[in-house]
Amino acid sequence: MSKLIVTCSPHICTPRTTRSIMLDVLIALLPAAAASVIIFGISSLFVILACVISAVLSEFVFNVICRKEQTIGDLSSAVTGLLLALNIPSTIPLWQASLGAIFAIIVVKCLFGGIGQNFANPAITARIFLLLSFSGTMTAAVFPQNADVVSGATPLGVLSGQDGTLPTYLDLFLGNCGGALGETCALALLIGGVYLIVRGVITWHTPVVFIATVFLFSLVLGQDPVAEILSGGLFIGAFFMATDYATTPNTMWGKVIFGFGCGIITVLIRVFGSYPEGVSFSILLMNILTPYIERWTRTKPFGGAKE
Amino acid sequence: MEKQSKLSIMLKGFIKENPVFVLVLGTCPTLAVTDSVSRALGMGIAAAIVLICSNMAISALRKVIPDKVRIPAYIVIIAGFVTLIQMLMNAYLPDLFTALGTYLALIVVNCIILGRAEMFASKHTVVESALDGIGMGGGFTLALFCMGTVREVLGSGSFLGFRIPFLQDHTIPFFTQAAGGFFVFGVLIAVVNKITRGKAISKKEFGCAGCPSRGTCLENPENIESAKEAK
Amino acid sequence: MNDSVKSVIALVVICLVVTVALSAVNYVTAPIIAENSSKAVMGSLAEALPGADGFEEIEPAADAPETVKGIYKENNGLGYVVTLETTSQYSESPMGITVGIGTDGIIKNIVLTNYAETKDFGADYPATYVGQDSALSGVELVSGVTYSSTAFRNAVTDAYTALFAVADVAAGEMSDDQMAAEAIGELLPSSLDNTGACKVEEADGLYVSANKTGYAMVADKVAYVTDAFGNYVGCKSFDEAASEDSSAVEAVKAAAAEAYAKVSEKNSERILKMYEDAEVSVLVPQGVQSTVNGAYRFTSGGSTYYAMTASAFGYGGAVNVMYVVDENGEIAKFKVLSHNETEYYGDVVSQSDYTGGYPGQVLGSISDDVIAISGCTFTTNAVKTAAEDVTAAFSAVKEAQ
Repeated sequence: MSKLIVTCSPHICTPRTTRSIMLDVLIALLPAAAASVIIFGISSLFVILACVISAVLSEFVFNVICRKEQTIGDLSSAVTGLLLALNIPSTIPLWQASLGAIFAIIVVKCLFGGIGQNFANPAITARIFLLLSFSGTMTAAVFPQNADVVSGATPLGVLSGQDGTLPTYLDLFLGNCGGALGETCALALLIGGVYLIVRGVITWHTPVVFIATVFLFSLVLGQDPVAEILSGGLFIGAFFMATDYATTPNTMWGKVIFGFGCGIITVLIRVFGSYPEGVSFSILLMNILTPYIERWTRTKPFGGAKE
Repeated sequence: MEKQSKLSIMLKGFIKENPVFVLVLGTCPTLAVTDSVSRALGMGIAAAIVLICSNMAISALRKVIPDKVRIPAYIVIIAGFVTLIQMLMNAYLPDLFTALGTYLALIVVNCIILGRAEMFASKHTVVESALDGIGMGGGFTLALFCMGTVREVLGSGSFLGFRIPFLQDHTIPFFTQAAGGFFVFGVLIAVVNKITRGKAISKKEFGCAGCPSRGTCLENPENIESAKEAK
Repeated sequence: MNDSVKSVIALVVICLVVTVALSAVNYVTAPIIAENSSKAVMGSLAEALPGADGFEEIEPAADAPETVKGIYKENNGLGYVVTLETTSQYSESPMGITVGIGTDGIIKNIVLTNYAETKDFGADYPATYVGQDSALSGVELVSGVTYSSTAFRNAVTDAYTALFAVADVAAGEMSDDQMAAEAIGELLPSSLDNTGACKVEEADGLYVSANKTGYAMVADKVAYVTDAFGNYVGCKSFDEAASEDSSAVEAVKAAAAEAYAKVSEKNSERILKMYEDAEVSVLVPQGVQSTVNGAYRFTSGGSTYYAMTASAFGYGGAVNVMYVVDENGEIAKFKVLSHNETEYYGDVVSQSDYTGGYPGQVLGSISDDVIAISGCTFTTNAVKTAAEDVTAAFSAVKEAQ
């Protein structure tokens, strides 16, 4: 028997549930997942499966052990698993991928109180955990299986000064270049992002401001701006992770500030820092600042009294 | 002040008032040297020896040291013992000495030692202070050992330098890094909380009743009279 | 007032007591500590020179290489130990090397101290130096880790340099192929590949550079070098006593000319494949010392053409190309004879849509679009260098006529 919820009027009914939102996100991620299998081969499928299964299982087990209500039906752990999988290279050993998913769900999400209570995006934090732990397998430059592209480093690696040549813009856009599972095919991610915006799951502010800021600052700092926005995890971060409800601001200006901050930190790390990729750290750092951003951009409630 | 039996003075330092996991003192060496069990044990034992010796010395001199200069005096005594240990270790255990590096000298400012000197040794007899030193030092070493074990086994796949066959090939270097240290620390505090069923620290109470040092702290009104008695 | 005095006295007394205790312990432990540290240093020195019995430090010469940190002479005349410190250049992490060299100039043992990334070139790499002499002729660089292994090798060479200056140690001998390679590399820079070294192959006592732009023969510690066409370029002596010997000069010219003739046979066949009625004459241009290693003139269909082969280094090795031009320098044909580029780029460079861009271009003003291979700088540079050299060779050949 489901819970009876008692509230006062107005009684507005919406079909939107956590599950439906998560379903939309899963659908939006399908093009990118499909692209990753096409580009990188069947091993991507195994990585995706490992992550999703580990994520759902760990949430299930945690809820059982802590005698909480079973929440795997809301599909949020599946989304986290899929997002994590799209952030890691296809050559990663499956046990490491599973470990990342378990870390994401149990440590970042469940230990802090479950969905909606996490302080940072679980997928991004797990990616950083994997990067710190298994830097060898995580930074391995993986290339598309139909090696039309032969280069010594991923596009981001080349941009940060490693030996190699930058693929053409078209290659970068279509994903015909090296990198993690989901971050190469900008086209698939764009389709997914537009789908989410059209369905009203996310608003356009954060992704657009994030990407625009990266474009602008790369231009200012003398990097190739088009290559910068098309390489690395920028598209997947901007559309799918910088828009996570629990860890990013709710207010419109908050989202703008969030996107802007992420953009700046990303460019700074990419250009001046020793890591070639700055998106994960920038999202994590801005997640931590979110409560303050929200407080700062709080809108005045209609009819509220002056403080 | 609650009357404490000599035995309980010693035992409480191990779990109930474990300096690292309950009192959360001395976290710097805890996080720094626990990436391997040998370093952790070395540090724990060194700190324990210093703690016992300084507790005894300060307790013996407690009636002689004027109140105004007690902190500088304690620090000089503690620093003296630390330097002694340093020199002895350098001469007879050079490998451990180089392994511990700066953290050996940092025992001087380890909160546990100065804290126990201030709160316990200066108000109790030499024997009781020695027992407290043993208890706290033992608890410290135990805590370091636990953290060291978890971090070394998971992070380097070895224990005391001995390779563990399966884990050695599937290490998770995260645990030997700084971030992992904090993570393991947090998890172990949670575990200790669970074991003591939250009685070690009652988080819900504010004020003196919720503080683990309520037995000895001078600010606690309950203790002020007993302190006057002891004087 | 009384209080303060008591405080001060108490503090002073405590400090004094502590000081006395510390000095007493120090008295006991200081000698042990000193002995430990000297044993540690001695230990690593003894490891480098097995069987050693104590060392005496000697002062390196004032102009000793920077990497040399200390030279130690073994007490019983077994040899010397040199401690060096260099960086791995790529990652700038310091590398400490201790090498033990006997009085016969042979490396007895070599120890890598203080290096975080031994995995770089493998724990076995230092062992390849044991038994070598100052020429280090048997030592190879580790592929993929050229920076670190080069730094290692240079450090060991520095050790020898410093040692020769202050001690009586036998110098090693370079092998013939090392002498030939060094001489060709020095006298004909176009034979140096992208790592700055010249590699040679040997056939019947004649050494040829990897891109066939130079030949050398070695006799009595002197290397005699000719260019690709058999013209004598010069010699390099590896022994103070040895000097140029005219009979050796003649020998190398003859051998090189023979080699060039053989190469020209092959090239003539290639020309015949392209122009069936060609009558090829082999040219021996003077003063052409570049990547050009073949020059020919032939007539076909009533017109005179010149063909030139050149070999520049690309990504995976030498890229051998042939240009066929008419009397005005207009390119009639461009062919890639062989290359070692990665599959993808190699294919591009020898495919007809690449090579087809050349005919019609004029030597000396070949448009960049035609030369460039998108995404591959190395191969493009190789082709460009070849083009420039062929242009220069063409004008030299035309002038000489």
